[in-house]
Amino acid sequence: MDTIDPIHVQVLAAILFALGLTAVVTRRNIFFLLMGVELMLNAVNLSLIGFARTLPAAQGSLTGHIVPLFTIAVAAAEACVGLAMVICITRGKDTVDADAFADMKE
Amino acid sequence: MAAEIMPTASLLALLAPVILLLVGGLAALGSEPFLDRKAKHTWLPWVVALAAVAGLVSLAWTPVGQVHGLLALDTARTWLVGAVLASTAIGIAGLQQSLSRDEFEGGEPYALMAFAGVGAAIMVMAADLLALFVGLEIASLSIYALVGLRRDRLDSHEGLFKYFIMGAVFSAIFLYGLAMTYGATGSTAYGAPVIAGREKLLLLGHALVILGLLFKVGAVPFHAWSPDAYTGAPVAVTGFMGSVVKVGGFAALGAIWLNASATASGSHVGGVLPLDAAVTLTAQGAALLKPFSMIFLVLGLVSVVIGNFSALRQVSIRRLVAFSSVAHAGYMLFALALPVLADQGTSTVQLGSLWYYLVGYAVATAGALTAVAALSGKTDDGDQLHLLAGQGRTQPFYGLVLTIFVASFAGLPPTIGFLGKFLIFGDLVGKGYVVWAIVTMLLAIVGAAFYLKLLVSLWSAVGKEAASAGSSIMTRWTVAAAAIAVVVLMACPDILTRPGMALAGPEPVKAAQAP
Amino acid sequence: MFESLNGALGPIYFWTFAVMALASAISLVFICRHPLSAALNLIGVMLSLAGIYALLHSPFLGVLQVLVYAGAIMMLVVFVIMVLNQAKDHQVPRFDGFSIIAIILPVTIGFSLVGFLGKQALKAEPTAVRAEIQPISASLFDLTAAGPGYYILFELIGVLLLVAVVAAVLLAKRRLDDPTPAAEEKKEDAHGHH
Repeated sequence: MDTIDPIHVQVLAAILFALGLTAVVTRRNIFFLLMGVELMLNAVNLSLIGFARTLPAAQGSLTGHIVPLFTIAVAAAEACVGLAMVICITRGKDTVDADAFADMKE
Repeated sequence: MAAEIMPTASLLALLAPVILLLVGGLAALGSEPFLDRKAKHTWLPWVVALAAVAGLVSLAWTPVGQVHGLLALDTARTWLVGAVLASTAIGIAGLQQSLSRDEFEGGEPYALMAFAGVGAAIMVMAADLLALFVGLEIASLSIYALVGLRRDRLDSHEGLFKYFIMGAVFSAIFLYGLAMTYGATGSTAYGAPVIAGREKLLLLGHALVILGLLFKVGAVPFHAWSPDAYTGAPVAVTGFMGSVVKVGGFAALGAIWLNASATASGSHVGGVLPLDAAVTLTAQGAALLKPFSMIFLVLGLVSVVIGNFSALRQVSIRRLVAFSSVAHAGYMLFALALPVLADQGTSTVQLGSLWYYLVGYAVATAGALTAVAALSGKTDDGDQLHLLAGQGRTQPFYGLVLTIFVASFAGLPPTIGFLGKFLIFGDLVGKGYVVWAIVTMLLAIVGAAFYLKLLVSLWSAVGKEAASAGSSIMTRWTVAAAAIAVVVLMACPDILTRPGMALAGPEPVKAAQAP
Repeated sequence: MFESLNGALGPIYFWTFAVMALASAISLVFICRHPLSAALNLIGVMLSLAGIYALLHSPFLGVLQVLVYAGAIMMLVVFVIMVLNQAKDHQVPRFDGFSIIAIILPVTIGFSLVGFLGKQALKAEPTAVRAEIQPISASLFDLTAAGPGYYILFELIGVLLLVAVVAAVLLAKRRLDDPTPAAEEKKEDAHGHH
């Protein structure tokens, strides 16, 4: 009855996770870094729901649908603080270029 | 019979210490708008600090047990929660010192520090990855804001930016590990049994979770954030985050490690394992965990090397503490890895020396930085070594307590840091890693050199006026209490282990017998 | 009716959504120059994922994804981008020389993850729960001693959101103690004269 292969779901989640990480480590605009993190969190949610699909009801299938609820709340909180951080630091230096915030040395 | 499992406890009794601190934070937050600027820095710290102390006292009556397999308290967890609460009280005192001096506009930082303490306490109590994640995020988000507290300073912005982005990425990595662990076991509990055929998935999941936690505790190679974040933060926050985040992170690492030992040895059948348990490791479990503990050992050594040698070059006490905290993370990784490294056959995994080291480190770090906050004069830049010169003579009380804390960092008697290092070196020798012990000992001496530099500067005869604008009663009391604790805990090292557990050479306690 | 729909058209829907999600994500990471277009792409990813959630027996999370994630969180992001929108956003380069080296890390991680997960023996489980709102709420607010105890974490999430609000105020509010606009302007003036 069901023909979606859970492995395809996991592979999609892994690719999205890697893409999010790519955005964080390569892009220079701070907003892109924040959105990269959001993309990573979305990928994790997809992974959780995908795993839930492979577990029997007696063995925690529901857990995989509840953890994302918490993840979404955490993502909201993190986005809120992240955006506040952007507002805070653009007040000091009038730019959203991440490279402008790499002056400190050892 | 399987490994010991904790009894169910009443929810409110178990969470009483955390709830008290939370209520303190909420009360501070709620009353903040009704106070003028001066009153904020007079009353709010007392509200939060008293709540933390009340939580500390209530620990004496909290039961041993767990609720829903999510949160638990046992002897070791009680002490670690106590360390978190004590660090919060000490940190609040230092924060009051800095904020009232700067005439900071708001009183919210006190509430945030209380919430960070709540988050770290939840991390310690967690017996489930989801509970751990929620606690971790509460602590992290509060600390991000505390790091960015000096809102008009560019270096503060930079520390905040780096810490936030890296923290968010490693949170996501941790969460991916949680997802894989769930996929492999069908549960988010620490020691859940693996589903047949998904062992590799569990391994990768645990690896990612541990990666996320190693970042939080600032071990090499994930330490890049700590010097910048520590420098960007106000002095008092530096001490607070150094101690509280480490306690939470290492408690979680230790708990996961202990559960992995039990699961790999087949002696864990669900339920919550106490942190001070002695797990009997079978040969099969040892074979599975040995590569990981070798990785911990190597990371620990590299952390000690990088931490100590980088600290030598620093002139700012905050950066010095940052690198020394990297080194301390290294020692704690030793304490984590060593019990698994049996010579042959079965051995007992028991993390008593890690918990002992952790409690001592937390109290000493929070105390030291609060003392520096009191000594550092008109601005936060007064934490440069040369500006502290002679302060020990003008303010002998703070000179004395700072000396005690620094002695504890360096591992000199009569402090808890001495015994903590002694136990770890003893473990190294006991497990046959004599060369490692000697190398680490030499590195510890390198470490002692820069602590000595700090002390010489502190007590030097350079005649200087007292740079400090005076210190509050709270600062003096909390710092004195911390100094006394650092000395007294040295005298009774067995408080963290239960009766029947030997200290140096762990005598196997029959926790797990063959079914 | 759902089951038959899922059975016949499930893979077609899945691949459609998957391709949409991937295309949006790739465009976000490599092509977009302005954060606003990136935000729109991210919303595209989220909406596609919402569809996939519904296909994977999680209609409630699919709805939540649209309402909370794509609706509320991304709204906030877009709002802040527009508030801070300087023409300079266009001038921030997308990448720099370091990016070429840095990209090795995520590409390696991505390929090894895909290689690893592709080999796992994961099979769709016929008895997996269909997580409609009823079982989720029953589990989330199960207060019995034998329950999973998620209500404790639910309370803690309340603390977390409070922390986020306080942290945001502390970081982003210009003046913390005096909310009157007059005082704010005066302060601005004083700054201007320095």
